[in-house]
Amino acid sequence: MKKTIRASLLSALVGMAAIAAQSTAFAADEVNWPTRPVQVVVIANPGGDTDFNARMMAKYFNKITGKNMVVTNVAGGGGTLAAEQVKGAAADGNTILFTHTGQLIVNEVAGLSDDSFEAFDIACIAGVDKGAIFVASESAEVKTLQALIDKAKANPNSVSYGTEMGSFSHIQGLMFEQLAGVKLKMVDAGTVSEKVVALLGGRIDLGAISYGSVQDYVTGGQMAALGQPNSERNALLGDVPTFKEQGVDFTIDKPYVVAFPKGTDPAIVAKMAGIMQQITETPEYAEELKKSFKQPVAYHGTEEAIAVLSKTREDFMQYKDVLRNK
Amino acid sequence: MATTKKKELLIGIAMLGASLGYLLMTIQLPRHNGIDAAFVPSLLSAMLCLLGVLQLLSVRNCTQAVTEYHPDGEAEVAGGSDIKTVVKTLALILGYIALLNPIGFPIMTVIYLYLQFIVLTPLDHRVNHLVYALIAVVTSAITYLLFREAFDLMLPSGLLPF
Amino acid sequence: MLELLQQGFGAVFSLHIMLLMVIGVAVGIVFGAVPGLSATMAVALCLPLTFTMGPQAGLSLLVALFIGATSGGLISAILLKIPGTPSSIATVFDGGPLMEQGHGVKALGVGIVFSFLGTIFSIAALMFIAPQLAKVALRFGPHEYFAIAVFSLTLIATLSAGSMVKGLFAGALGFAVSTVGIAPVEAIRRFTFGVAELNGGFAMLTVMVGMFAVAEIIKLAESGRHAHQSKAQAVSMKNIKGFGFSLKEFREQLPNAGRSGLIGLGIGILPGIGAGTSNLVAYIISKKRAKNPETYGKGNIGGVVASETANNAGIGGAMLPLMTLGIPGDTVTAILLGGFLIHGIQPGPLLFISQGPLVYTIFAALIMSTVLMLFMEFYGLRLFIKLLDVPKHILLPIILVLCVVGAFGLSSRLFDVWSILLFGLLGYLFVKAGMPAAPFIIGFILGPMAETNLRRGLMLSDGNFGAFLSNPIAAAFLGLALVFILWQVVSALRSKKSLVNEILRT
Repeated sequence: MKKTIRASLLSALVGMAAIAAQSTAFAADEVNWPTRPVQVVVIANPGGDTDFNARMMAKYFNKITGKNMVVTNVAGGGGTLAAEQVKGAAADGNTILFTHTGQLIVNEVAGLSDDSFEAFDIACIAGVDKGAIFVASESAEVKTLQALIDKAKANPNSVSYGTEMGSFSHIQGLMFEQLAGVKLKMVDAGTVSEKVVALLGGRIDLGAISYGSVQDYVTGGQMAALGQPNSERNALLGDVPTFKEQGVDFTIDKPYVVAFPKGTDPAIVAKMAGIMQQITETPEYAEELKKSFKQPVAYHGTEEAIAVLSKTREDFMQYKDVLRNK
Repeated sequence: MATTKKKELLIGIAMLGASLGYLLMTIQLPRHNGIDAAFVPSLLSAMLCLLGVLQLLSVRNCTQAVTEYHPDGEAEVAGGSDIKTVVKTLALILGYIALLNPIGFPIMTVIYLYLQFIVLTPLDHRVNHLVYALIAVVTSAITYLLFREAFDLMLPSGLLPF
Repeated sequence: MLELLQQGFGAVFSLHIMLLMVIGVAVGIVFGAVPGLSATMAVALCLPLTFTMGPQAGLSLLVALFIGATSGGLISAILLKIPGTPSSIATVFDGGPLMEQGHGVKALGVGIVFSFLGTIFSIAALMFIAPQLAKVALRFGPHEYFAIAVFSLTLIATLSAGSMVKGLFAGALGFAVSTVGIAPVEAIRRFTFGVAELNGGFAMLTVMVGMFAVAEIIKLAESGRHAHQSKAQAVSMKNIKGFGFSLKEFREQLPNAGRSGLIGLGIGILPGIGAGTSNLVAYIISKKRAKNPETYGKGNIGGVVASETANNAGIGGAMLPLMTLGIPGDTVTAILLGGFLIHGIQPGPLLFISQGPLVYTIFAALIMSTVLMLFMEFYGLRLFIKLLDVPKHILLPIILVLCVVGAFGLSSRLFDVWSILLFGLLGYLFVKAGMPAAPFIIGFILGPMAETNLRRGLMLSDGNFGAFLSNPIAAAFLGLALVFILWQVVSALRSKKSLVNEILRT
């Protein structure tokens, strides 16, 4: 009895896996890669935007190459654990890091990691998260960006901005402070969902949160959407105006980076960048990103990606001392 | 009950030792004004040290036998403690984890299970090498394949080419 | 509403979804029962499988896994004295002794039935009073969380059987171990010695697996070879009817179950803490309120009831903020949130309006999974008992291998595997030193919560400690903590035997 149950369980599971991993064979290109399952190490837990982007990449990678790409989630240590794991892996192209600037660059700026992005061979930018918006809580009693700026200017250090100290949202806040010429009260409010609770509970006034998480509250009037920090309106975010339109030249987004351990064969890196480009040109891929995380397709090749990262690093470094609590 | 007293004293020393070690590391943390990242560790070090000292004091004051607390009384099993088996078991686990990556999960699991079964076999039992080896191989294969194939958990393959 | 629920059941009763749920509950029970594999892992590993399914099928599968795994932990907690998941730690305290006394089937039966009742209770709460309850959760900020953590930490004193000094030391040590890694609130690395692997600190699962499972193997190595019977206590299934306990015992446990269910639901609703904490808190409170607290820890079914009702009541509790506010209450629901998002569904206050049919399908799936869980565990009971026919020297090494897999599965790194060995050694030393492991675990779980919220609370109130006392909920919990400590001291002084002990020991 026990054995039959186990056996049927096993076969059911294996069957499910087989369906999930159905793949079509393709002829190998110039470099003989991938030859075995490629492991992509993601800096976040399953279920979030980063994980989703990585899994979409893996899904279409399987379709295009016929080889398996396996997603491994290594959250924790603010992304340093994943980075460390890939850095120490063999540079044979079988281990890939999937990260974003919020960890790859911010960790270095915050002093949590001694490595810059140059410790890796960057392949490409696989997507850009343009979903963040600034929202104010009902109790903050501001409905527009101008009202917020006026309030903050009248009483410096009175408007509280909820963030995770030393993380990407901290930089978002600092950058906004500088460009809008205001002084906010920076408080630690934890992860995205903890921030939503704090906003609803009226414990913080302001936060930078992905639109999807607060959409219902903006519609319902419990929160006010002040602006999106994109250079042009992301049409998927409803009618939230950009900061630029409102006179504050504040843009910040979060590119997802695909990187290999240092010393990987440049041909493999180039091939991966090529495959990613091919993925981003797939209509179904665009549809899935749009449906789930309201994310438009974006892609930057190797050269461009490195330029973007260098620029971002430079921008972020001016907040080094604040992030390091000096 | 000199042995109990000696044991309790030893425990007290270990407690205080661990506390002082933590205190020492806490002191080296970077500080800044107000409540900082060293605040809670400082409180904890103080509390740990205090409890360590209390334990030592209680041993000194303890003139009579104190009934020991044993969560499941297993420490008193007839035959006493078998230090040799404990050391062998620890060495096996240590070796298993250390070689997991270079040799790989499938092979190391078979070796570990086979040896561990033998080490733990009660004295009044016969060691059945064939059955042990079979269980070891089957367990290893099922675990490896199930997690790798069904759940995409990339257990180290090591020497094996798949 | 009834109509919607009917539709929901209609959707769930399709062959495809039913099959998925049966597999889900079964796999969940296995993940729950095997130490080292947890509910979080079951849901995380199966999430990608749901990408290709529709939202109804996918979410039904995930929900089934969640319920199976939360309940399955009781099996190994009782049979092997090793909690299968952190939610079942307190089940070991009385389930283990009951097993040794030959009442294993009764303990399992009680655990299964009250798991079922706890789950059903919380699902009812989720269905009928979710919006009201969710509003309460919003009122809890850092000040309140800090006070709850402090209150729960003071409960450690109750678990310090034997020497109070050692119990408190174990708790403080657990707290101290939790401070390794990147500090909360302030991004600095603490006690990492420049080792990047330590940045994330130690994982809860490795601590639990080490202290219970690995320590158990070392204990077996110490005594097992000389023991006359290597098999665990034989349990006779003869004369066992139904779930192995009487209606009278069931009735006697109802107040305890009600209280524990409320604790489990309440703690489950609060984002950030869940079944891992509530089973311990419910156990302690049940012990405090019992007529015969001295029998707790020695085989009182009340302990099993408290722990298992509370941890399963956490299921509805954790689903509640997820479905009404879009806020995950624990690690499992954080992954479930992903399960919604990939299908383009954003949980939030409008979910009940915009996705009514889906919401009720999930309710139906929750109820169906709970019933499936009850049936599978009831008929599985005889199977689980068979596990004991496997000699311990075969069983425990296999469990160690599964613990290694589980630890490795946390984030695919050997560091976590080394951690279980480290905590296994520590657990063994604890046993040798007569130091209880439970306070260590509580300190480890609640420590970070206390510290993080202390720091956050102080930031909100500009470094002013007074805010913790001027906040009504926080002040109430801190007051309770104080009362509890005083009570502990008074009752220690009152009992003469303890008095002698107390003077001798402190």
